[in-house]
Amino acid sequence: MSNLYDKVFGCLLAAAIGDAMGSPLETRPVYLIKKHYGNGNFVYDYMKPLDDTLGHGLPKGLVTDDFSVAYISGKHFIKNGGHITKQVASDALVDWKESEDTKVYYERWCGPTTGKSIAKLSGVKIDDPRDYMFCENRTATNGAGMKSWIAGLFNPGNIEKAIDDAITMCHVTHNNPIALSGGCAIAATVSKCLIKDVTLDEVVDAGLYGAHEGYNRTLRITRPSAGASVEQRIKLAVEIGLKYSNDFEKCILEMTDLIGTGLNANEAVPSAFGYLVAGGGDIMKTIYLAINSGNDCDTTAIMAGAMVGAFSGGSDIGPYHLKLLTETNPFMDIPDLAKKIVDLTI
Amino acid sequence: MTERENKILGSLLGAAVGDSMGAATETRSTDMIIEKFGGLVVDFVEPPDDNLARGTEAGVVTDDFSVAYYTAEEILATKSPVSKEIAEKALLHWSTHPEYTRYIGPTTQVSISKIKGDLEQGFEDSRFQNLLCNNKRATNGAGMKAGIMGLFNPCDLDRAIDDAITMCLPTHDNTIALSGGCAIAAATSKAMSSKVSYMEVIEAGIYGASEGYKKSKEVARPVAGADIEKKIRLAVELGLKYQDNFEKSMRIISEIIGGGLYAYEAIPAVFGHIAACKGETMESILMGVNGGDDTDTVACMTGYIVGALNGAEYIPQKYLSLINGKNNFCLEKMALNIVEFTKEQEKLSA
Repeated sequence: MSNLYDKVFGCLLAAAIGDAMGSPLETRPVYLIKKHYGNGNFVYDYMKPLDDTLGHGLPKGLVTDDFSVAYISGKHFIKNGGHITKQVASDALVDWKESEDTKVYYERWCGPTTGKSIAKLSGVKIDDPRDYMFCENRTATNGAGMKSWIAGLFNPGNIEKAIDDAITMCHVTHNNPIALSGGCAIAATVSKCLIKDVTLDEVVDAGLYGAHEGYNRTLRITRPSAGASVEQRIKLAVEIGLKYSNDFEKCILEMTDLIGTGLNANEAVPSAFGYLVAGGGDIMKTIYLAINSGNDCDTTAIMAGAMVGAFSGGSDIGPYHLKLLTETNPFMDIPDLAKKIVDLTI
Repeated sequence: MTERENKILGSLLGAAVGDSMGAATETRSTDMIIEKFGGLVVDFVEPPDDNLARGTEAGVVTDDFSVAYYTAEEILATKSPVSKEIAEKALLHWSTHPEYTRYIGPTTQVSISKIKGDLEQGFEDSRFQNLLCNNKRATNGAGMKAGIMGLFNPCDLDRAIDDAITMCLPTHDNTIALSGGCAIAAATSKAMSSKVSYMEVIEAGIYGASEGYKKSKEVARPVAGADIEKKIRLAVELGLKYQDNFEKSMRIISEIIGGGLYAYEAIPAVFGHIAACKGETMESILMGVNGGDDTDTVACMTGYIVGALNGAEYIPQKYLSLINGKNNFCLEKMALNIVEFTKEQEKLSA
């Protein structure tokens, strides 16, 4: 097994684990995850969603919009020879929304920004009463970061291209410089993680560069938006992650209290970086930190998972995860997707 | 004018000035404000036609100050401390004013429909209806109006906190929004004291955030989001670190703390700005106006606190007539009536 295959496979699998484990815990604050799911403790496994969550009534191990939309996008990019274009990204979204085997993810979880964009792609005219406004600050969401890591996989070691591809892919849904800054941070990091023997310091630098470039490259081509800086918050999140890497609970509390893991790109993306460094390359520890953070923790965990999985590779992840995830989510064949991506990139 | 009257007038005026000045800059970032207005905004400017305040004149307040104003009127008319009934009645009265409801925030909008009994109005995604935690409601709409509870409870932090919860619970039924409201109410209440320092007022805000969160946990719905108390401490640290540099401190607070719709951004930013500006009235308010994002709300909340801290004479006299004239208010009369009200209440509890 090649080193690159292991890293691509690890990225896909760890992303799926983070998404599926985080999903039932999503929206809750930390103390209610412990109280309602963990019997007083943190959670370290897949849970059946409670009735008061977005996933109510669905089985444990189901991924959400996050992984499914990234996966379907990846399939479409492969069909296009690995070239990421606006058209292919748009086709993937419509396919994802309409296919029998993925539409449950759209119906249950599709976020506000993506939902509107897909409707527009399908020709639905949406009259937004806020269209006259110069800025739209409500679309600075993490929906670019939740899927852009797949663009990183198509560009191993090529950070510049990963950033441009992430913009092409995510601009379709997220016409917002802060959202795209978050998306580029994640894509650039995953791209960097695919290099053999890279260090965590180096991948975090790539993430900061991605956040910075993603913001600057999209500032003039997107609808303007005001909001906190993804780049500056990544720096603070990394500081928190390093400081509390040996204290699981304190790390989560400081991260959620100061950075947050909410819907906005300037919360979930920086926290994912904080957990990446706190985890020190340990895939499951990184994912456990992220899922137990609550709020938009499936998205935080998919991003943290994608990064650490690409960094550490998937060979040490127990077979239990792939088996459960594949059985529960019949649309996915992670080893096959990983192989096809690798075949295209070497 | 007595000290109390002067402080209350300063607070009302500070909040109204911050709100209406910020109405023109709202939603833009600091860079976009500089680009649009040819520099930082240091006086009233006409709202541009591409933000929520389009078509209004400079000096007109938004939902932020007006909700508080109508609540204060209702309290004064009823001659009773705030109650659920008073808060709801005031909201319904307020909601008949289209000049203010054009700004209505997402959380208040849903709540007013509920108070009116319009449960069918589908403002919100039906998927969220069964959720235990609706984190999108952890907004700054409690903070924007709760400052006034500090004026009705001068130098009595705990009552200000309780009244802030009572006032804001009908619209902001969640722990984080209420924690933010209590922070602003407690800081304003403390700022009513004689010879109090801006750092003591900030401490009171931290106390309000912490107590407000604990008390709200008993009565309001849970939500997930960042912690207002901890973020106030961080914002104040940043403000103090760059205290001698207006633009630097403002920018770092916007980048790291944020100044957006969520209570855990806008409320901590207020205290960061006050720390950066050493509690000086107009400077603190102007930092809110220029910090970007939800500027009118940040500047309004700051205005309550620094206006009470320093009194009315630190705000240009001409602003009082502008605010009164454009909004059909009489803030002097309201200040006097609140003084009378607080004296009556103090007699009753003595």
